[in-house]
Amino acid sequence: MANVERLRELTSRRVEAILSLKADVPEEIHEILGIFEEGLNLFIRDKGRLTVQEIAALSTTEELVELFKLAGLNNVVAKLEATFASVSGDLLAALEEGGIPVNARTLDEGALGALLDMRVRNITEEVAGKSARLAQQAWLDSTFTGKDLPDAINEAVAELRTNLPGRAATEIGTAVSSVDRAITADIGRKADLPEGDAIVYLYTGPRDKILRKSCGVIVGKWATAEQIAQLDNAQLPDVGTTGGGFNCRHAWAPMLMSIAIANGLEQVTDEDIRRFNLLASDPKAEAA
Amino acid sequence: MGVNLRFTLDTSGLDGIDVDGLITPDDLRLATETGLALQKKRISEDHKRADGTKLSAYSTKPISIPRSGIGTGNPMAKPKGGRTKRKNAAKVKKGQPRKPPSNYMRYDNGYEEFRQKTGRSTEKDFVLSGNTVHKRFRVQKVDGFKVIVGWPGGSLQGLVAAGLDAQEDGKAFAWSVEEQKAILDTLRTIIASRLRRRGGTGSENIVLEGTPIE
Repeated sequence: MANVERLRELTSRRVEAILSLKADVPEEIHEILGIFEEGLNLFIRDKGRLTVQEIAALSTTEELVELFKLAGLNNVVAKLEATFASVSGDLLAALEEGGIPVNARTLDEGALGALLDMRVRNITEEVAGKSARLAQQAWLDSTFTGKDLPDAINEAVAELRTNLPGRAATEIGTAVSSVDRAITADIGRKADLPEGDAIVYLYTGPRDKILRKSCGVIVGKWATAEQIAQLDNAQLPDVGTTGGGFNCRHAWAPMLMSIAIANGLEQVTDEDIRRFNLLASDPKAEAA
Repeated sequence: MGVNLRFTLDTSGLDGIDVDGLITPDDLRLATETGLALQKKRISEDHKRADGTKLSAYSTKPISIPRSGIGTGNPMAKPKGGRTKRKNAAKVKKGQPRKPPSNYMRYDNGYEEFRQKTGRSTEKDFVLSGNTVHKRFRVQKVDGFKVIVGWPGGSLQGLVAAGLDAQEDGKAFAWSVEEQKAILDTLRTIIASRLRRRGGTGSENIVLEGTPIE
């Protein structure tokens, strides 16, 4: 039932966007827009869930062209080229007004921002590669609709129909975690900093026997964004979003540097960075 | 005790200073994330409740874990070192406990044994795959002066987290004194800086409170 309501809401938003588009488009294009409208509604009906993330990922004219093609409207692409900017703007405005189905009780603003500025897509593509689309869907479902993350990941893996479900779960789960880390880190980038202060990031998470040696060097310590940029986990780009690599259970948590110091927390040193990078590429490097 | 926060700010003593936007939603988000950072550290590294006492021990009651692993089927969550069960679980001898079928691994010493055999901490840290940490310990929404923490309401993981908290008498995800102080200190630092930029001294008397709410 929730999916039907979602589709209904989505369709309503798209109709509004299409109507505002029609108002700006020359008369001779209206017939073509009628075809587009019909095609888009068919597309929504057939692939509503995909449409959510594809529409949500739109931020450029090229993305919108792709959507038009998916709706079977290749022939109208060239004729509507002049209006693409306003179309994408209308669709994004519809999204910002709540075109993405969300849990009625909460709206995760940080997650919505990550969706709209393409970070969700970019990060899942970097981490999950061919499974990126499924990772995006798992993240969407677990973030906005209250679906349990394990269920969302398991469904994504099942849809993948791979002979290596464990590997797929690792890639998709890591991609989802990476997006969540990016959303949290974004708070630091937006902060209006007090003079002389800075946003730093505390590396938190468990210490146990399966702790990566590299992670063990820095867990419980804080680092600046510049220091984090020097870290290399030897598996995935951007340690700020991917942590120690696949299946990493650690997270970077933002705080003011003055607060980190006041709470007696230790800063990552140059030697820590060197050891993290060394142990990430060779966990046995310090065995002797 | 609630885990969300409601902040109040009394600026009646700030005559002649523009108080519009003295606190923004981004400030509240950053301050709460600061508290959550310390909370994550307290739980996953120090294994402590909000009142400083140790988190309770993991269960030693016999348990069967699916061979496919807990949650996502992540290889790191697959059971190791338990007892393999016989293939046919249909027949049970009189007086013997019913045994699970062969797609489960049995741990006679419970979830604690499972964690010990899979290399995880046997001191409670609420971490298995890391999903709880990523999804639970974060700000979800800032609504005016109210900050909502954690994942969407009603989700099973939310219920699991609530269950974990109940095991600790509601003191796991509650805010410790140190965490609440860090949250308010963050806001005071930001406010003082903003006041100085607006012609004040930064030492003006403001009344700022953060109250845990449901």
